[in-house]
Amino acid sequence: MFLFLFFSLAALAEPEMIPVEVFEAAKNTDLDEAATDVEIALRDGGHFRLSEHRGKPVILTFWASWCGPCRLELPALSTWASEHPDVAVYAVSVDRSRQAAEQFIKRVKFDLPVAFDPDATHLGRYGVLSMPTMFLFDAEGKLAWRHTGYSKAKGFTDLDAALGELP
Amino acid sequence: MSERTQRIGLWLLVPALLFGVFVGGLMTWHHDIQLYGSGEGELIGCVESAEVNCDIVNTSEYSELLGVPIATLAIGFYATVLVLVVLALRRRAGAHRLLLAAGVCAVLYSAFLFYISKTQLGFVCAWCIRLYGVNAALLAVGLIGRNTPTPPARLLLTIGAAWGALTLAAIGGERIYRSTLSDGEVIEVAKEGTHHDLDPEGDAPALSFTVQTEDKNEATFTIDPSDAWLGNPAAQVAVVEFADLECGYCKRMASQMARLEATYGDRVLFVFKHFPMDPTCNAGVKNRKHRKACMAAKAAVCAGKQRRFWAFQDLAFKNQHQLGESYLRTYAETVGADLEAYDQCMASNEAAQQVARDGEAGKSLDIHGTPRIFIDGKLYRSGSSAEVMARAIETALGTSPQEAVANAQGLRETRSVVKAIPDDIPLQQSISYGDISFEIDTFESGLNNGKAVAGKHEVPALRVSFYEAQEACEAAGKRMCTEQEWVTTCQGALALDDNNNGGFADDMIEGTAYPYADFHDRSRCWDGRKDPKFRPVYTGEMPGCVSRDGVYDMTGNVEEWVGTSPEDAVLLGGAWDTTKDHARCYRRNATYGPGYSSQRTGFRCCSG
Repeated sequence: MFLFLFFSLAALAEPEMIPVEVFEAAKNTDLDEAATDVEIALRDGGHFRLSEHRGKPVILTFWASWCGPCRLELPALSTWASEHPDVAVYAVSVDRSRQAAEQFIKRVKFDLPVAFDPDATHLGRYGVLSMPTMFLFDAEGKLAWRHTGYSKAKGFTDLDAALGELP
Repeated sequence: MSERTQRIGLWLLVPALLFGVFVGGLMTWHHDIQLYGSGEGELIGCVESAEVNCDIVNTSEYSELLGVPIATLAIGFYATVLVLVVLALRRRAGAHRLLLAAGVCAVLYSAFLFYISKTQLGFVCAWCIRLYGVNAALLAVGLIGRNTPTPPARLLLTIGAAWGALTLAAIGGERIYRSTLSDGEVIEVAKEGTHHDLDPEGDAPALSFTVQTEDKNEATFTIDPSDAWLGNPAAQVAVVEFADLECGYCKRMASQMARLEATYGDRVLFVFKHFPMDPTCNAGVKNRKHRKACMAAKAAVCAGKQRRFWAFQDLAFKNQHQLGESYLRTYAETVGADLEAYDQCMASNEAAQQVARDGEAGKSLDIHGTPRIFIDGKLYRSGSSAEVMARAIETALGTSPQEAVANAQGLRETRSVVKAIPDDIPLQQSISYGDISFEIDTFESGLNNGKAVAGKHEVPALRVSFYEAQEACEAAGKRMCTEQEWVTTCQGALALDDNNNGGFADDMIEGTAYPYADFHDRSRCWDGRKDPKFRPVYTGEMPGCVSRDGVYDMTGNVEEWVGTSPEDAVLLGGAWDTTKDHARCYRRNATYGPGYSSQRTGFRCCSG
């Protein structure tokens, strides 16, 4: 009976998955390393470089014109940023089409410096799977917190908490 | 009831349950050999009649639950109840009461299956009826002990565990048996699949025959000269199908019908009648189930006026998710219809009148749903396989019963058999459709020091951007596949940019929606595995996830970068955790730019 059960279960076995460590390695991104040399073109000219913001916390939030929650998040973040002048906040568009991003900026009012990542290279390096995703770096450029999604009811309470825990 | 009566009842139940286990095994064998094996197994004790047909019932879409034959589940169930009976005989408190619960569930499920058999399939199966008897006996014996103590939690746990283990054992045994049936079978796939050219010239022959209607009345049916037809117009045997282009079961039936047409086209007449499930154009139905069915039926009639009904029908079924007016017009154009004449036909009453006539004809035959097929006056429904209908055709043609069975089995769809991947399989396959020919990697690419590696049992490359994929293919002396090449391979037919937007995976389906078939089959590809416990699999782990040309894992496992330049880079096919509606040949993910990478992004290379 046990032998039969053993063979039965063997027959039901799923196909062989790749090793866990290989998969986990593909999932993880070395954000600290990625962050040190990150350079994203800014809408108003020049580039955003994390290394140029040592000494103050930095928030990078990735958005796209087709992302519904981003329409709520960006204006709210814009207000939040005006209340936190000691934090540098950047909104990174991942739209492939610059035109779509510009139309969104025109329609959704927010006052944040915008950077463009049309190739989605940075999006990939940061391991972002969905929009909006926000990253908080500490004054030394180390990743302190990340968050995906936006809830109007919750607002930025988690962000405030994460900011409060920074050294 | 006295204890003596209870014990007699329990003892009588023992042979009944052993019989249940036996019948479960017998029907599992029959189900598997019919669907996954040679089809040569004849079920004893089930003589076919107007009411009884075990082949249809035991191979219908209702004969499996989550891919497991319900007959196999019955083995686990009856074996568990047997354990329960033994416990009750040993006076375990609560065991007899639990038998009552099992009896109630079994009888309710029997009633459900009987209802399905009668209403959906039109036949019952003799062995199923015998099992209903066992279930009734179980309920009766359960009722004798209805005043016995309620089962304690420990007994419930023990029985639950026994049920799980015995069911798993039964499923395991079934899988082992099924795998022996699959070994050594040859996959022979017609490259072009179902495809119709121009309809035959001339009107349909006005053949008349006697029919037993769906409500078992006798009626005379005459083929209308304007009906779409195929096959031999001088034939005395006719296969008449009533169908709705928006009905999923009709789409499934179309592939069965195509196999019958291919085999019997020289001896039999095939006729198509419209029966849209919408009372606005069909007096034969009461409720509006399909909102686009009337328009689609009209469009098919108009395509038929230009001898393009059958080609149009193929395309409409393939693209059943898109049957809006403009799509229908595109399908008419694709099959070569003159659009001016098509538009005129659609604007006139002519097509609507023909659809209405077909509806009236269906009504006169008491049709209650689609598809309904009449072969030599006998009714067949959605669960009927080509093999079962072939037997009816053979009999109508005058073949002896033995020959009829043998000939019908020759129709078995060889593509449904999954064959193990040989170790020496070529690592690239040559693809040629229409005016394009190229080579494509048989498996998703692995990665070694930035170079693409093709092979069976490789770790597919993960977290690859389009740029990295392109470099890896070039390092291996290959190139990225174009979207047209990738979609052509996946669907097994030349992909066209039907909507002229530069994309091929976002418009009309010319081939199959999945590499292996028009319909999703979870056992084929590594997709729909949402649970976090799942990861991608090694290449070549899914032998059933194969395209017509022997290319594996086109859908599922890892999304594949496709395109020859960063501007046209897209991700196709979905990954291991992608839902079935997205892990298809037709799902274009152009959301992120070519620099994007994640644990879900991989690739394969092309050359030539």
